[in-house]
Amino acid sequence: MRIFDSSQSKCSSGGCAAGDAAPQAHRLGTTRRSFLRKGAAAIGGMAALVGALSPLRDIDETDLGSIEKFVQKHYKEMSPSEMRAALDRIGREVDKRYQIRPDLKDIRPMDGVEFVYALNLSRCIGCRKCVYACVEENNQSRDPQIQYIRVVEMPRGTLDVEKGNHHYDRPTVPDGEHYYMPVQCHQCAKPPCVKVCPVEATWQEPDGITVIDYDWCIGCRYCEAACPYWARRFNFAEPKIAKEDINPRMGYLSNRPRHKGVMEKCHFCLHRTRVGELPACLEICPTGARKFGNVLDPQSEVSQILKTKRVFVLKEEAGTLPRFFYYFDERYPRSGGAQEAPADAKGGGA
Amino acid sequence: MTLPRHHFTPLRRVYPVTTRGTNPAPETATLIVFLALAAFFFVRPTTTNWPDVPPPVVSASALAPGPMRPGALLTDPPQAMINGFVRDCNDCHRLMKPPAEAARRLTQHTHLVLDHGMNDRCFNCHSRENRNRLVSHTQATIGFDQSEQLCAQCHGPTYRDWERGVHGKSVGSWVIGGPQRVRLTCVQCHNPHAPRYAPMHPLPGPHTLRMGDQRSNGEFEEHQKDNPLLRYQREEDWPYKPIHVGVEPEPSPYDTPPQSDQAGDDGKEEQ
Repeated sequence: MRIFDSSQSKCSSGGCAAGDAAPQAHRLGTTRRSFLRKGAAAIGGMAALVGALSPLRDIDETDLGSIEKFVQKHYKEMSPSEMRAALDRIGREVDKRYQIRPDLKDIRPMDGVEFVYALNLSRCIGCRKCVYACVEENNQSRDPQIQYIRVVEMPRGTLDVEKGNHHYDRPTVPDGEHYYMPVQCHQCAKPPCVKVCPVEATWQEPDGITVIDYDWCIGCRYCEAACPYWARRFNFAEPKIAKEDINPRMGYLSNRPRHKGVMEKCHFCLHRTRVGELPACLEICPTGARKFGNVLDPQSEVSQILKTKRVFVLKEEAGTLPRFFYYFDERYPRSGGAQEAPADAKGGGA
Repeated sequence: MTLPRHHFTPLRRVYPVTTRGTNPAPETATLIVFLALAAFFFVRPTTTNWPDVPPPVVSASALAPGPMRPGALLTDPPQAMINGFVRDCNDCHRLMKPPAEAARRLTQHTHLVLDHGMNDRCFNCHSRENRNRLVSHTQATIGFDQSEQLCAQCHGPTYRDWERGVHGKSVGSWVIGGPQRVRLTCVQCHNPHAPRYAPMHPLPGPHTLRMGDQRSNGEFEEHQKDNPLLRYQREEDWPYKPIHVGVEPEPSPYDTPPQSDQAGDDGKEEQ
């Protein structure tokens, strides 16, 4: 009893006068002032709590995820049955979100295949069709806009990307004074993005494609900072794609719909290329500037290009060993205006 | 006895008065901070600066895939759909003998635009006797299904690259020798009468987060003048004409001369 009535106990021990009521009440904590103060603090605290939690009003099911997703293993550790369960779960989520039953597969790399991309800078005219074909194929967010390919307009006579501009917006291209260099993921043999990932959510596959497990990515964006080619994109907001724009042909590691807070990037359309088809950016290219193939096959187009053309890689000094090669024809590109080729380009194939 | 009473009384009476008078109680300050935070989060001001202009929508019509010239004649004899019937060239030309070649205006096939450099004579490539065949420099006839042999006479390095798969376009599959792989020939991309590609409208550029449409107001803001991303637009390209993507089908870059953009100018003047 005495524990709960300390003032009484103190008074009874002779500390205070018998008629001194006000100090007693003060020590009990029941004055009007203290009551109002503590009440206001309690109400304010509750209001602050409610206010701080108010963003929870915006949460929907896609933000929360599911228990199955939470306990899902890393891609490399999943057994075939676990992978089937994961594909089934993702299919159900896509069905719920877009009312479309996807053809979702986990396609593994082919044996004896190493993919290489080559791009003819003499032929590219900067029409940006590849950019939007990629967006359409790979279910990228339309708003906010995410694009894997960035076409850089470069003044002729330099390879300095700092002088380039990817916001060019001309009535017609090419304009005769610039050449166009599309940049996307270079699928490096020594990828710095893989090195920095703290959770091993991104790795290099045996066919050379660096992939991301979107369910394992924590969205720290280290890889985005590490990439010298600005190839990785982050979903700052929940991706918005119209239902009719969804490509139902999906791969686990490639173009299944992503959520807010994960990285994504070009994966050479692996759901197409691993079954022998060509990437969407190549299929759309009106000039045939893009070349794709198996570099381990000496008859492939890319092998022939590496053998017979003068190729270079972007930012070679970064030591990333890209699998994306640029090359020129011997002749100076004649597209666009009728200007004279510079003297050093007239030597033909020298 | 007096000493404890003396201590108790002034402390109890003086201490609360002085603290209330000079500095507010710590919990009051905490309360104010809490309430301010609560109001801030409850009202939820938009802290992200989203672009005002939504990203452009590119319709599927702007993304027609190759092969680029579906009307190319690829068979021997060539087969063309004329008035609902499949005909070859000799169906007409075996009756109509060719006139002597001279610089004259065509009376038939007037839709053709001949812009092939110095190669400006019909019978450089077409056989005078047999219109179902092409003809080489040595007067050997070449079928329309092997027209690349004709092109190779002048475009040697390009033909060499094409044979290796370095020039030109392959669609369907990257597997060499695979059944789905289709190797496009010269005339499936290039119009043989005007082989140079006409300039194209580029699709819209990236709609970067927090940047929006950088030129929608027609003039640069003061703070945009130092933006390195805008320097090319600043030096050139004014006045800015918006490109409406997918609203109307893109004119084919083949067989038609590039159209001037008169409609956009008129629209601006009216406004």
